[in-house]
Amino acid sequence: MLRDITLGQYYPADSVLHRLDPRTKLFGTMIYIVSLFLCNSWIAYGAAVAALAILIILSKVPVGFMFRGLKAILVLLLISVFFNLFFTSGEVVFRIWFITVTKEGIRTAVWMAVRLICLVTGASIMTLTTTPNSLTDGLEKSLGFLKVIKVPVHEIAMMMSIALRFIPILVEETDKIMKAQMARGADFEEGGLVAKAKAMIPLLIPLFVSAFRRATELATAMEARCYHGGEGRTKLKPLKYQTIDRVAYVLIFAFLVLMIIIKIKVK
Amino acid sequence: MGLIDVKNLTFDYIIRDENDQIESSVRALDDINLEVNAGDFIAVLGRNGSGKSTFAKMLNAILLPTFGDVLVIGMNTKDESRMLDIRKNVGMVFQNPDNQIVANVVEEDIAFGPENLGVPSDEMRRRVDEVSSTVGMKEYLLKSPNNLSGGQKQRVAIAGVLAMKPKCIVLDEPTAMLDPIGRRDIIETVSKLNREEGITIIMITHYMEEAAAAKRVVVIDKNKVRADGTPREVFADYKTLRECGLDVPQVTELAGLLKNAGLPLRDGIITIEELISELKTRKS
Repeated sequence: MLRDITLGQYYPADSVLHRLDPRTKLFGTMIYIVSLFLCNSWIAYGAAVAALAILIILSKVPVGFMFRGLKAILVLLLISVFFNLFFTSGEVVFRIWFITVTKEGIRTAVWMAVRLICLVTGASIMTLTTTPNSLTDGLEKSLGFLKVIKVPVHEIAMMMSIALRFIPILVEETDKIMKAQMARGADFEEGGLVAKAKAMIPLLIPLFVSAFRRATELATAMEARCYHGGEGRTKLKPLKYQTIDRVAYVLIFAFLVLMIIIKIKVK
Repeated sequence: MGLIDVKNLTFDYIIRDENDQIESSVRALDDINLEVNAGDFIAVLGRNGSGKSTFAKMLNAILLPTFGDVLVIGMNTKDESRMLDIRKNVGMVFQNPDNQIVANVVEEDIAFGPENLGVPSDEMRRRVDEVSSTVGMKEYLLKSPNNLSGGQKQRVAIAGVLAMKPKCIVLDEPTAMLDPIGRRDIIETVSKLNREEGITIIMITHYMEEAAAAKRVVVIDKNKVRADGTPREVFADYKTLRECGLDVPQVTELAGLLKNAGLPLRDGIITIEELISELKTRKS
């Protein structure tokens, strides 16, 4: 069913990571990404991979889901490995025709690959264990300081959550319009790229018109329910840090310190 | 003074050209006077384009009168400083159930109004639990609105309005997009709110059967009030209703035809039960 599509890639489960406050997870992800760029030794990369493995186990999300995100960066991954492997100068390991592979090349290629994989998987852990709603809430709350420089944080968060609410509705509507047009003889399947793109016009125009009508009605309904921007708003479920969040913050900082120490000490 | 006083209300839709100059204007409401008392259950009837939806939007300051005034518990809708107070007291439920639900979870949508009003979280929790059981949606609190039927979504919308603790609820054709079961659900919910909670109801509709459930019927046509009275009084006057493009309820029409054919029935029969009992008394 179209109405059951899940947005983002939230994987429902009951784990420590699922229970963490979204702000903690956002912060943790950020620190993890920063620490990945501090890595410049095998030990550091080992620590990063180990931390990731622990998080994957803690999250109770099947490993297959974790690595789905990697498909999107497969090409990028291959390109970076390719260039690092063949175009790094240094101590030559072997040479085929004009291609030389150096020791430094192999090392950089492996490091880059690990770094990219950890980056994407680390971010996936956050999106897999956080519902889009609480992610939006977390973003609104933790980016609140941007209001000082006139970034409309509340408005952006509100738009995000409304978009999440209406995507399934619009998907269903697209389906309806498509069927209605097909019943009138429209053909969305055949023809080349240009013909297909042209066939989308009778689909997109009604969809846009309807989306605008919905937006107007929703705006009226929101005003009727006293919406007047983010000022003075309270929340049904305000975000509150629990004990596990405090523990998590301590661990996150400990991890960061560890990575810095490794960077300084190990050459 | 009533709960809502409508005085000489006139409204023009103004169409402007690119330079913000008035191009033309269409009169939607023409010199309407109406007093709504606390505890009323009013059905506003009218055909498409009669101005009834525009009228609904005047009652909580979504639209403002061109001439005349609308007073809600003594507050003029033109007074911008009282706008939130007015909207809190006169809640509004719209026709399309999808286009008035804001949040992705039922309980968060019900809390949307109180959130805007700055109600503290624990008080909000209490209200959400209370109103969701009033409309019979308590077991759906954690569901996504996308998985609900039209009637259920409309009940969520009503709960969302109730959570603001309004004195009056205006429903703008709340059943137009629902199936018969959903329609009955909503009418029952609304009647219960009026009966048990004493909330004033103003329901815009073009279904006669729904209007029969109300205590008072107001007919709007060609931008003016054409009839105002109890359902019995209003439905007894076929001719005016026909002129306004409305039909009387089927059972009223049947009773009228039977009477014309020589059966001595009383006037103003508006429900099937009434006709049955009336026929039984004739028989005995």
